[in-house]
Amino acid sequence: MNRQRNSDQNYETLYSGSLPESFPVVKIPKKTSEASIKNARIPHILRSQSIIAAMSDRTNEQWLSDLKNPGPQREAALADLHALVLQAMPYALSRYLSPDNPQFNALAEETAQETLLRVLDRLGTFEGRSQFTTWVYKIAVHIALSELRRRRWRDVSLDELLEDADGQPTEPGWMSTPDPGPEARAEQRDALERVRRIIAEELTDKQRNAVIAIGIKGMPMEEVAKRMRTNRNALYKLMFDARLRLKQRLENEGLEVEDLMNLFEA
Amino acid sequence: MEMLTFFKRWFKPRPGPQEVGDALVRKMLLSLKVTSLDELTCEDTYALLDQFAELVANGEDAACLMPLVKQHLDLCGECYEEYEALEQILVAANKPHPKL
Repeated sequence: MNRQRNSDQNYETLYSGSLPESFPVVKIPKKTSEASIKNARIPHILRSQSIIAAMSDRTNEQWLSDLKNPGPQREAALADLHALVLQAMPYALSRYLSPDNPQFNALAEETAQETLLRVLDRLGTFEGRSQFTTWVYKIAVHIALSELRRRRWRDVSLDELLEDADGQPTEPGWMSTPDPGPEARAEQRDALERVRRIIAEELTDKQRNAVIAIGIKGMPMEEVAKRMRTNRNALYKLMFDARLRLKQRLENEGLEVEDLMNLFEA
Repeated sequence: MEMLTFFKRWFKPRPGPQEVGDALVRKMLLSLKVTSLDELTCEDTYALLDQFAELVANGEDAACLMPLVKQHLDLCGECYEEYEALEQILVAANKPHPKL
């Protein structure tokens, strides 16, 4: 259960150390091929302006044209992208994993390689609404953070997580002042009971479990989705439907969310 | 063992109002505050995340220009984490690099 995290917390415990002032730049071998990139071990990390400048000089069109067809241009572009992703990783993971952590280099390398494969696979979906490199970084970030989440939660089952559910109901007190007075207290109690009843009636077991696992226990949506044998998008939709139903029901019963919040904050 | 868990879950009575804890009530109320009919899914948001992050990095009012993305990021912790990591990269990439 130590692996659980509150939704307000992050993986910061995994991170210790400070970031370099600028990107650490990876030295790229002159002759590269897709196979060599895949199998490459990054020999040293150096700082330099020239490589960054050269890699960033390409326009979106040049990136696309270089990557489209197999050949030396594609190899060079892939090598540059590989280096860019590796440079970006200390910043992307700054809240989660220190570059000094023994896991860092392997994760960065794994991310870079997976990113290149995904970029080639999805090249046709790039619409040019951002810099090509930003699009690539977005893919890399998704791959790296998904992997970190997977590692962090791999041994936690949903049943284990939901065992103690969300605690027993108590007197309304989580948002109230120490003594709101007997009238206000009765009003709060009544409102809370109504909301509890509505939640119990409107939420399906699946929706309730998802809200507790994600919203209260802090398990990532992707991990909950896997355990529920669905995907992140479908799970978001499941929770969206739950929120809409609840909102509608509260409105039908003459309860405004804002008013309820104010009641407890008063 | 899995079978046993399955049956336990199957025959578990549906939770009544007394089993809806404060944390769940609070979470639901907070999320209802930002719930609207028009919401992007994680997939929709991911498709626009690079554009949104660039707007922010360029000092534009991204929340105003892409309000649905902003709304999704307010609701979805994982998409927000990915946005934040992307933003960290863009900020660092725009920094001048000191000469050795």
